[in-house]
Amino acid sequence: MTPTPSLLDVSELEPAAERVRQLLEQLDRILLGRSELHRMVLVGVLSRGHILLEGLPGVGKTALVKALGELMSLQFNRVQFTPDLMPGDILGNHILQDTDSGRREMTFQPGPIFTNILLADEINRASPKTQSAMLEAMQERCVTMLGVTRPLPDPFFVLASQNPIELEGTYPLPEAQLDRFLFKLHVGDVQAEVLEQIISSRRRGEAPKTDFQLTGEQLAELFAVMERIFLPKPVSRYIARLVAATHPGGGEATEAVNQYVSYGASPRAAIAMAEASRACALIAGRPTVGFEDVRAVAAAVLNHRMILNYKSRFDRVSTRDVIDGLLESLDETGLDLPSDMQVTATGEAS
Amino acid sequence: MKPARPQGECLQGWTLTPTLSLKGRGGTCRECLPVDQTSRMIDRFRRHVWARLGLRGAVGAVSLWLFVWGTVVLISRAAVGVERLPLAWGGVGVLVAIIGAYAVARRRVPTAANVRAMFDRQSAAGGLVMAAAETELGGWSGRVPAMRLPRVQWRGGRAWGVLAAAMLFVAISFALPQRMVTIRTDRSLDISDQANQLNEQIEVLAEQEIIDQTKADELKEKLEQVKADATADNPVKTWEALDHLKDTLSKSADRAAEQSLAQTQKLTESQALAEAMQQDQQANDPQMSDELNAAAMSHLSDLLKQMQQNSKPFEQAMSKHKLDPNALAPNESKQMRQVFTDQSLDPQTQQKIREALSKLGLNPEHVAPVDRKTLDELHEALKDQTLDKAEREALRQQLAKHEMNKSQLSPLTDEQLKQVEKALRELGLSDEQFALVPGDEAGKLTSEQQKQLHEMMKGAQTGKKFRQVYLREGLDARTVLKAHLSLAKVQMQHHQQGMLERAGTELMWQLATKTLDKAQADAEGPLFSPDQLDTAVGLMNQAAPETFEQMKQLGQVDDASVEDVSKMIGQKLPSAAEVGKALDAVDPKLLAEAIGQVAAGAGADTTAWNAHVGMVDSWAIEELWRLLADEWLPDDEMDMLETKLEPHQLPAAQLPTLNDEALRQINTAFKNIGLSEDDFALLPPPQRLTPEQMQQLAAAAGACNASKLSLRARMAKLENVKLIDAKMLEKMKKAGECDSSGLAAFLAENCNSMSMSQMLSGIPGRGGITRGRGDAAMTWKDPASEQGARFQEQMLPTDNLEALKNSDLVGVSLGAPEVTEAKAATSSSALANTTAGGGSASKQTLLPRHRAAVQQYFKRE
Repeated sequence: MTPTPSLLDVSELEPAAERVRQLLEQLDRILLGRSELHRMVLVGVLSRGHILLEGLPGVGKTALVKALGELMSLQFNRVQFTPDLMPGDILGNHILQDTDSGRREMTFQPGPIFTNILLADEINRASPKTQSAMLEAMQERCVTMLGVTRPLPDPFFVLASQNPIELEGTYPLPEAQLDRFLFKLHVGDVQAEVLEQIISSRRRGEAPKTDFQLTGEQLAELFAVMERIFLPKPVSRYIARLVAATHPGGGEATEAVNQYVSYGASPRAAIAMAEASRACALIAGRPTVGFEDVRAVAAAVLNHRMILNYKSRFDRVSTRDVIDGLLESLDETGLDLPSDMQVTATGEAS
Repeated sequence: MKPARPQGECLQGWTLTPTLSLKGRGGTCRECLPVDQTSRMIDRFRRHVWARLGLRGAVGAVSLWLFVWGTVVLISRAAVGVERLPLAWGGVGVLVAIIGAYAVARRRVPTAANVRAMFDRQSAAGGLVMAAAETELGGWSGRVPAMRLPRVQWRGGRAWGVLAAAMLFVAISFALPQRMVTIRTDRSLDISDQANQLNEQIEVLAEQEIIDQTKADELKEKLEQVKADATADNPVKTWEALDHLKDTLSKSADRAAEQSLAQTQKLTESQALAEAMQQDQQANDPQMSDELNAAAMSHLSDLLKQMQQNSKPFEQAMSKHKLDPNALAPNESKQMRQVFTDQSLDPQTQQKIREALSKLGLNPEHVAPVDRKTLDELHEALKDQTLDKAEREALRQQLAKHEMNKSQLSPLTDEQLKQVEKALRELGLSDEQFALVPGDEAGKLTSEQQKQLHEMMKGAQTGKKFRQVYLREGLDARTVLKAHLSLAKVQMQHHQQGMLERAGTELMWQLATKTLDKAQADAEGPLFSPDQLDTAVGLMNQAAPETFEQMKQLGQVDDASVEDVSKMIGQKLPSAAEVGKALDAVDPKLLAEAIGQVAAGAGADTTAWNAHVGMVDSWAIEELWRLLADEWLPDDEMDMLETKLEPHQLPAAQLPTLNDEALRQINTAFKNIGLSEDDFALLPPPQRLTPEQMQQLAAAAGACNASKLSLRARMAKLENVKLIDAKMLEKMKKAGECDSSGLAAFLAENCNSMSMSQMLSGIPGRGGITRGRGDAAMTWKDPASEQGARFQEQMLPTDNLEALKNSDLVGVSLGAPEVTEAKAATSSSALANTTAGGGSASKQTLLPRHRAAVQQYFKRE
């Protein structure tokens, strides 16, 4: 039996939580009106997960990634995915080069993937071949070419973007690749007030300069703290039940799941959800994961992992609707009381 | 995020004050409980949840059980009729349901981990509460937010409503009266009215003794069964059963009605006859002759006897009116009298018959009924002096059949039989005529004869057997006693002559005395009627003195016994009526001879009479003599009798005073002898009935009338319950109408020209297969209704119908149409009068002037 780890000490957690808060504040300062998106992106980063950003052009996807790289002192590369983009264009190529000894030999020229943050812009425009070239990198965080495996810098994140419109000439991401993204976040429109603020305060859209920068050590500390965030068993059970409930025919599957879902989320989704919940708890300054953390990340984790059937299209039911119904119906605590019994908080104080 | 708790603040951020702080609770306020108390709260909450779940389950289970219980109660009470108290044990099921519900609820109570998770969520602890169960919180324990015990609420309004309904259902199932819950599986058919009517009819029939009580009970039982089985599903069966019962009752009632009607007719006839005879007798100038009176009385007696046997009401009325049909009947045996008066039998033959019967110990008068054919056969047999054994056997059988029962013969010893045979020979019987004695001759007594003789003696020795014999054969005591005494006398005579042994005498005496003793001491009822007893005693009286004397001489009886028996016998002196009867039985010729001897002053030497008159009837002569000597008649009658007897040389001093009855009987006896009334007009006018007979006639009329009324009342009761219709009652009424005056007039008119049988068969209006006499009134049935009656239809030929269509209606008249022959004969067409086959062919009338056109049409080129 593994020994039960002790909780983070307050003195350990609070500085880390403070740094994360500062990072969020900076992000919110750089990109106006996207605090929730920033929080989820930060959750993804702290969970060491890849994030798929979906939104219309010009909504600030690239700016967000650039700002994140700058604030975290991480190397940042941007690749514009096009149909003619080849895997070598991303992973790198071997080129013939003269050595100091006068000999010619093939040397590896690393591609843009060898960075800390890779912005894969409009990833769905690349060919499947090119898209699949990223599979190993995203999962194993290394690149194997000509039998030689080369690790990618740590940390390594892929923040991909895709345009939900202009789908002609695009290649939808295969499920295997989608599953490798921790989150799929929707970058929506901004409020008019936010736009007004952007216009008035940003000439040519340039982000304001910031002097806050997270060092590599600090980031490593954050990752270390993340490792010690405690996941209680009831919460982990809830995550498991939630993921299991996405499968049609499951014991706790809702009517919507049974009706509209063809395939539910994979076990990787449960892992991702647990990690993301931990990150949420860290951001909240808590040493333990609560049900609210799970609920906060559940939609982002599950929405690109559930495959709906055609009936959902006819009924105009989105994945988000199904997930909301699931979260609504599933009792986190597992009390399983009859429907005509209710637990109210206005009880007697002991 | 909630800021870190500053010093002196509780987890909720409240400032701790001395009043809020609680000792022993970690220095926290009431709202902020230490984590270590969470487990107790969890346990408490789980108990609350269990309680609520148990209550919820119990309400549901109890409701379900109550519905089941109530249903079972209703079904049990409705189908089986179970009492309430045993069904109340179902209340135990409520307890079981509650216990079961809590047991099931216990398994549904959330685990502690789940409850802890719920607490964590409720208190927004962010997982700290949950983590506390798995690890040390360390510095975070102070940051666990306060927890309040949540309240578990159950919205059980609907369940409580169902429970209330279930309880109400159970209460109703118990409270409903049995009659309301009883299921009537069969739809019964209400036949109570019909059943009541039939029941009433059965009771009336039983009350009127038309059916016996057993039959009535059986019918009632059947009726109850029909009532019980009456279902509306198969009403035909019930109605058929009811009809069958009704038919049975109706038939019984109809039979009773027919019987009552017939009895009423007989009663009416009897009443009319009795009243007519009374009227005739009370008239100044009675028209009915003695013969007619006797015949009428005999007929009336027969009718009354028939009625007595067939009608219970009449039997009751008879006892009420003290009516005795025997008192009405003439004493003669009509058949025997007819035989003896029949000119076809010569006096010698009659004498032989008489002697033969007398030697059998039988009085011819009491042999009746003997039919004419039997007597003829007997006559022929006796006439033929050369009877063989088979013929004698046949003769004995005939005699036994009509006069003697085999059981009256007892086995006598051979010695006794020899003596009897000798005694009988003294009477003049030849061997061929009466061969009793066993021996080597043809007249040997067969074993059957011996057995008969033995039975006879045995039967005579005990009163009971004697009585059986008497009852079975219808013989009166006098006949039997006479037989014995005759034999005894013969034996006594022969005893005097040394022919009989002492044992034979003793036997005869014992027979005589014991028979009388048994007759008197028989507890089962009188052995003899008073008349018969008197007769028997008289006979004993006649025989006893001699017997006693003999017995005394032989030393077989002491003086005391003789005195006792004499006293007993002396108390039973014969009445005048008995004397008359005795006289009636006397052979007329012998009687005449006896009287002649009396007149000749032969005295009372009865032994001398015996040689002439015969042992039996000599006593009657003696009695007659004694009566005459006692001078019972009034002086004028004595004078008249003396005068009348003078030609017979009867001493006037010896003429007794005779009463009317005695004189009448003497007169009858004398008439039988052949004396004319001119020669022997001793008696009062013969057509006059005696007061006793008149009284009996009145009693008969009264009894008949009462019986008729009783029968009519009986029929009225049957009519009341609709067992018979009113027509039958009306018939009864008509049948009971008695026109005694008319009958009296008819009798007065025809009594001299018609016999009684002719008059009875010729009463006008009797109908029958003879259709009555020519002047009998016709009897009509009820007039038939003319409704629906019509003339027979007559089919007219079709041409006549066609002709009618072309005819003119002149008018309608009543009566048959007149047919004029001339009109029917005229015809002007070629095809007229041609009959068509039932009118199916088309018939054309072709006039002569059209012939040319037709020929032209068919003309060929």
